[in-house]
Amino acid sequence: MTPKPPDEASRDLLRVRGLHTQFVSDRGLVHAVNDVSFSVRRGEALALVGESGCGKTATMLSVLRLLPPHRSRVRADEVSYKGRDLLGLDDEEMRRVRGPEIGMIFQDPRASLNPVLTIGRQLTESLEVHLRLGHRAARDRAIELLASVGIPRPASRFDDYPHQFSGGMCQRVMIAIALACEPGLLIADEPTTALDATIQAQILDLVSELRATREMAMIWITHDLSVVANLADRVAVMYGGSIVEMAGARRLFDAPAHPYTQGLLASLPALGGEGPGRLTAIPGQPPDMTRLPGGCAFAERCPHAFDRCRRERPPLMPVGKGAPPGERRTRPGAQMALSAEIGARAACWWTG
Amino acid sequence: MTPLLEVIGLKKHFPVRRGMMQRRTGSVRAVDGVSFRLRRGETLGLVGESGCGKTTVARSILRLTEPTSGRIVFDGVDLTAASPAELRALRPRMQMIFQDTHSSLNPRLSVGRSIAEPLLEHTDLGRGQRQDRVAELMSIVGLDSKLAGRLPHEFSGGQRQRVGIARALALKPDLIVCDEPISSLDISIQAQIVNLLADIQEEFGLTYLFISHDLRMVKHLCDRVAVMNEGKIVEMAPAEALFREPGHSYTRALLSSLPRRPGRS
Ligand SMILES: Nc1ncnc2c1ncn2[C@@H]1O[C@H](COP(=O)(O)OP(=O)(O)OP(=O)(O)O)[C@@H](O)[C@H]1O
Ligand SMILES: Nc1ncnc2c1ncn2[C@@H]1O[C@H](COP(=O)(O)OP(=O)(O)OP(=O)(O)O)[C@@H](O)[C@H]1O
Ligand code: SF4
Ligand SMILES: [Mg+2]
Ligand SMILES: [Mg+2]
Repeated sequence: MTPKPPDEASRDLLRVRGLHTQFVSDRGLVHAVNDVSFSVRRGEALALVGESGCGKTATMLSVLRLLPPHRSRVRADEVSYKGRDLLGLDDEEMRRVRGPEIGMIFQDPRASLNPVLTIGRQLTESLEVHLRLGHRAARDRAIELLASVGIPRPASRFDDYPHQFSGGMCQRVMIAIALACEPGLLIADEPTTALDATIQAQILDLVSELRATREMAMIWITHDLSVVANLADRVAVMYGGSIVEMAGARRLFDAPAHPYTQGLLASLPALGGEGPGRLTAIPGQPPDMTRLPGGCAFAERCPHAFDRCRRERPPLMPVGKGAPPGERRTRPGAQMALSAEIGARAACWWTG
Repeated sequence: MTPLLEVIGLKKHFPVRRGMMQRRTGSVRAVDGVSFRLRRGETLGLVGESGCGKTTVARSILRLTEPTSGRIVFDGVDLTAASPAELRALRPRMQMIFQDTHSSLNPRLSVGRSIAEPLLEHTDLGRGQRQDRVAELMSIVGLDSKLAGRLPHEFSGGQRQRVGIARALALKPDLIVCDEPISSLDISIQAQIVNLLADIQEEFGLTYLFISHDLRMVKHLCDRVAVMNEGKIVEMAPAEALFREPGHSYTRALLSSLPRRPGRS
């Protein structure tokens, strides 16, 4: 590996290299994250997509150091934010990073809101602590934030408790809380799953505006590929705890390289045309993360699997510029040259 | 033929209380006069903006919340006037799949035990038969039955949602109210689950009330669609027709704000 030139490295806001996360369970170690590396630049939106259980949330919680220490093992060659080594910080320092520096939206909004505090109080608390706003100013700002995420009549709902809000409303409150501190990086775990298209569009507009005006970077964890298409600059596709494809968003949709990504795109139902019929699902089940196979984790479900796939785990390799797979395998040299400028990579012996 | 479910003039208003004395200062009209019928074997989609009252309709049908007024008639029995014994007899026939897996699964029970719970309560299956049925249900929803001994927190969000679906299927109900059952699943699994819902519907003649904000899935799965806005149904039509010519301005707004479909569109 050649080290990155210094100017390029310094544009990285968050850098993660060689992240491994395991959970201790009665049935042995769960290999939730296996050798994951990625970086996010100022103002950039990276989408992290992949099947349920593939390790997306575990990746995010490892970076934020939010996993229970006695039940999990996290190691990495590097996890840094603005050049600071996050793994070396003490708990108090880390608390000052979470929130004001790195904002978080968790997957289960109702579970992460405090049930005994009013919605308004949960918002003003972080505004008062992190932005040092006075009581009155915090209240005004909080109401503004609730309105910006589409809560109707926010002043009258200010004193409600979480159980009085619908699922989607709680999700929007989480988003408002995360944005309240104006973080440099927002890590959002399935932030819009419970939201209908109108409100989702409003939220996406809101975060796009923050990206444009304040160069906020984002990691958007989602399984909703239409959101990815509208939001992300780059996409990382995870499978079985590893990133199996990393590419610019446009390229990923136009020419998915990894067979798993191809299967994902094929399982989208169409709005126009066809009508009811069977959806194309990827057959089979995700791998048991306590016993990942030695070779490619997708081999059992892959339509293109061949001997080598079961023997050897494919690393992330540069892929060519949409050449048919048959040709790709025979022209590795030509591809390296193309992919150097494109930067698309896939972990697959067939496309690689 | 009598409909399997009839909802007549359903209202649910939540009191709004303010200040030290928690005086009632108004109310949130979560559901404000909703009526519809569900034929046996039909799938009715219920769509609408977040907060418009969909979950409250679902919870009222299953008597998880007491309606302010209105009637809910299931297979000819008025649930709002039924005796506890009648309700208990009907309960296995209606199930719900929840939006929020955190509060719907007991964190201290293994998932196998959670799936077996309705069987324990409503059937006299022996231990071995119960285990077989749990294994069968788990494989139906795409979970490895070897994971039955695990606790919910050892599962990802999407895996927990599948446990909820297996549990709802346990008693072979007539009606399943699905409240955003697939929104936490990734699309490849969504497709599997939607196909699965369609398969078991055909096999057992199941009836679904399918709440979702995903209009593509609704169009794919539902025969008819009801569109809700601020506690009321503003439009109800066969799925094909609704998507072809949305009548209400709110339906048009919903459709036009759909994100662009990636790739092949
Ligand atoms: N606390 C834990 N103890 C044991 N295993 C865990 C724990 N948390 C997660 N896992 C396991 O680790 C793997 C990765 O889980 P993770 O929550 O990261 O998935 P995910 O990609 O976020 O999925 P989803 O889309 O369903 O949220 C899964 O196999 C899960 O069962
Ligand atoms: N227990 C409660 N007390 C007070 N208000 C409530 C309660 N439950 C729901 N509401 C209010 O009723 C309205 C409808 O909520 P409901 O959960 O039915 O919406 P929904 O359509 O399911 O939304 P979502 O798509 O976000 O899940 C919302 O304004 C909500 O805040
Ligand atoms: S390495 Fe082999 S099994 Fe894995 S995705 Fe590629 S072709 Fe399929
Ligand atoms: Mg997750
Ligand atoms: Mg709801």
